[in-house]
Amino acid sequence: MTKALSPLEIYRLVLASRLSEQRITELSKAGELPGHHSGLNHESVGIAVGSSVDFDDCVQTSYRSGAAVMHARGGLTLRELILQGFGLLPGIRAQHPGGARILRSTGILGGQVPTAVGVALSYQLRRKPNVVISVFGDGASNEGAIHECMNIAGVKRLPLIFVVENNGIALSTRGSDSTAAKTLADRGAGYGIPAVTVDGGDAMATYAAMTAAVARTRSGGGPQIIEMKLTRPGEHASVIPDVRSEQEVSDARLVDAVANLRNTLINSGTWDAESDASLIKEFTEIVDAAVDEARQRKANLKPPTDDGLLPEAQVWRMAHASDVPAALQGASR
Amino acid sequence: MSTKMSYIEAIREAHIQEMQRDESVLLMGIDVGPLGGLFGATTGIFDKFGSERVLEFPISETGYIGSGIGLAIEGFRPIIEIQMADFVTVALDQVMTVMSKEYAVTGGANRVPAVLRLPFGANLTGQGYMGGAGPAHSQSHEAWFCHSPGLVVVMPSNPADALGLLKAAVRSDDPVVYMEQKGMYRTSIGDVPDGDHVVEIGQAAVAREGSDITVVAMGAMVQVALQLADNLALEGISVEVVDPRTLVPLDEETILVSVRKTGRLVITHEAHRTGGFGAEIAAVVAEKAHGSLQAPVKRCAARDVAIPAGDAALRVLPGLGSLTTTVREVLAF
Repeated sequence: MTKALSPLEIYRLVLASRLSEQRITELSKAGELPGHHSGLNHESVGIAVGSSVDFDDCVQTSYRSGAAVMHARGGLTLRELILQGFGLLPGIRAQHPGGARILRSTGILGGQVPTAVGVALSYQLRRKPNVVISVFGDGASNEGAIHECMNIAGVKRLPLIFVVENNGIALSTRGSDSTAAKTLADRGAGYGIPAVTVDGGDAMATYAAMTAAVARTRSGGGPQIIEMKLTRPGEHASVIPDVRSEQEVSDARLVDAVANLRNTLINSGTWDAESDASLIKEFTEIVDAAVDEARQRKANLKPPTDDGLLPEAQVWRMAHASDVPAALQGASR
Repeated sequence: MSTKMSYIEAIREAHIQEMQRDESVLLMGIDVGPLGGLFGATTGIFDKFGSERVLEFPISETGYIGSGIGLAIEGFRPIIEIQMADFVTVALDQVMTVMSKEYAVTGGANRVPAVLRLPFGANLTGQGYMGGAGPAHSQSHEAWFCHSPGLVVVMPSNPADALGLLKAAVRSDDPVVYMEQKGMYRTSIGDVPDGDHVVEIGQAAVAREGSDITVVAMGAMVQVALQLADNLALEGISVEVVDPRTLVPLDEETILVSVRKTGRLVITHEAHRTGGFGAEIAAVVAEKAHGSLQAPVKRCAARDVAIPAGDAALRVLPGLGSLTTTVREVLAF
C-alpha cells in the first residue's frame, strides 16, 4: 500500500514539477528546445496520479502531466526531468527495466487508451490486485477510441481509472464548442461507470480523489472516470499561437494549484515564506545545474547521418522482436 | 500421416492446437464465443476453453484490437479475429500506430506477440457461389500492412499452410497480420500433416515447377495459377508458380531464383493493382534480377474500382481468363 503523503510532501512534488516544467517551457519558447506541450498548471494531476499508485500498478501518461507522474512515482528526479526535456534520457521502460509500469501515449489522441484496457484485462484475468490509470485530455475525450474503451471497461468491470485533464480548450477549440454535456463526468452514466469532477486547482483535493479512486477500484469497484478541472495558462504548444483573449488567458493563470497549496500551507502555519524561498532556491539550483549538464551533453552528441548505410538486419532488429530473417543477414540496402 | 481438411477447418484446428499447447494463447473477437465466429472458424473453441480464454467484445474494433495489444504487452498471445478484413479499417490506428510500432518506439521494452486474423477477399476458386459480397465485404488490404514496419504479414493459400502459418504466427514475438482468404474457407480442401505442423515465416513455396515463365501468385490466385499451368502444359508451355506465403519478411531469394531461371514474370493478386504488393515484388525483381528479364514484368490484379456485389465482382477481380491473357502477353514479348 502506498504511503499517504502529507500536504508538505505533495507541495515539494508539485513545486519541483512546476520549476522543471517552467524552465522547459521557457527554453522551448526561446527556440532552444523543440516545440513543447507545456504541462504548466497540470502538475497537481500528475503528482496525484503518480502518488496514488503502487509499484506494480500501471499508468498511461498524457503529454501534459506525464513528467509529473514519473516524478511522483520516483521514476525521475528533478535533474532527470530536465534531461528528459532535452531529449537526453531513453524511454521510460529502458530507464527502469522491469520497474514501474508506464504506458506511452502514442501521439494520436485517444489511440493509446485501448492498450490500457488490455493491461487492465490482463490484471483481471490473472486476478492481480492492480489498477491501471489512463490519463488523457478533454480534447482526446471526444475520440471514438475512448468511447469504445469506456464502454468495454464498464461492461467488463475492469480495474481501470480514466483521468480526464479538462483544461477547457483543445488546441484552439473551446470545450463549449466540443460537447453539449455540462461536465465530462456526465458521460459516465452512459457507460454505467461512476464519475466525479474534481478541482485540479486544489492539489490536496486532487490527491485525495485519486487515492480514494484507486482504493475503490483496487478493491473490486470496477472502472471510474475522474474529471480534473484545470486551466491552460499558455498556448497549446510552444510553437502554436493562442487564440484566446488576454482576459481568458489571465483568468486561466489565476488558477494555480502550486500557489494555492503554498498559501494554504503558510496560512495554516505548517510552512513559512522563508522556508519556501529557500526550497525554491534549492530546486532552482538543481534545475540550473541540470540545464548546464544537458547543454554540455547535447553539444557533445554526434548528429545522426542520412547516409543510408544501416544494414538490413539492423533495421529489422530495430522494428521487430523476432529473429532476423535469414535473407536479411548480411544484406545491405 | 495427414488429415483432409478445409481451409477453415485448418484455421480452427490451429487455434485448438496452439491454445492447448500454451495457456497464454487467447482468442478475442466479436461473436467468437458460443456462435463460433461469423464464418464458424472458431466453432467449439468456447466450449473447449471457456470464457477466460475466449474473450468476447462489443462491436468495437478499435477497443478490442487495442485490448489485444495491451494483453500481448503483458505476456498473453492473443489471436484477434476481425469478422471481415474490411472492418479493420475503423481501427487502423491501432494496427498502424500502436501494434506495429510498440516494439521500436519502446526500444524493445514492449513486445506485441499478437495475431490479427483478417478474413479477406471474394470467392475466385471456381467452386460454389462465385464473386464477392460487395464493396465493403470483399477487399484485400494486405499492402497497407506491408507498408507499416514492425508487422509480419502472412497469406496462406491452402489448408496445410493455413494451419502451419497460423501456428507460426501465434509463436512469433512480433505482431502478425494473418490474411485468410475467406472465399477459400470451404472450397479449398487439402491434406494437412498431422502432428506439430509449423510453416516457417519468411519462406515462399514453389507450388509448381516450370521453366518458361514465373507466376508469383498470392492467396486465392495460387489455385488459379495452378489451373493455368495445367492448361498451358497441354500446349507445351511450362509455368512455374511461386507462392510467397509470407509477404513481410518476403522470401526474395525464391522469387529471384525462379525469375533468373525463366526470364519472365507475371505477378497476380486479388488486391487492387495500383499500390498493391505486386508492385513491390516487381520492384525487387527490377532491382535484383533486371539482367535476367527477357520481357517486361506484368501484373494481373483487381482493377482500380470498388468491387461490385455478387457475380459482377468477377468483371473487376482477376481470374483464370485475365491471368491467361496476361501470361500469354508476357510469353509473346
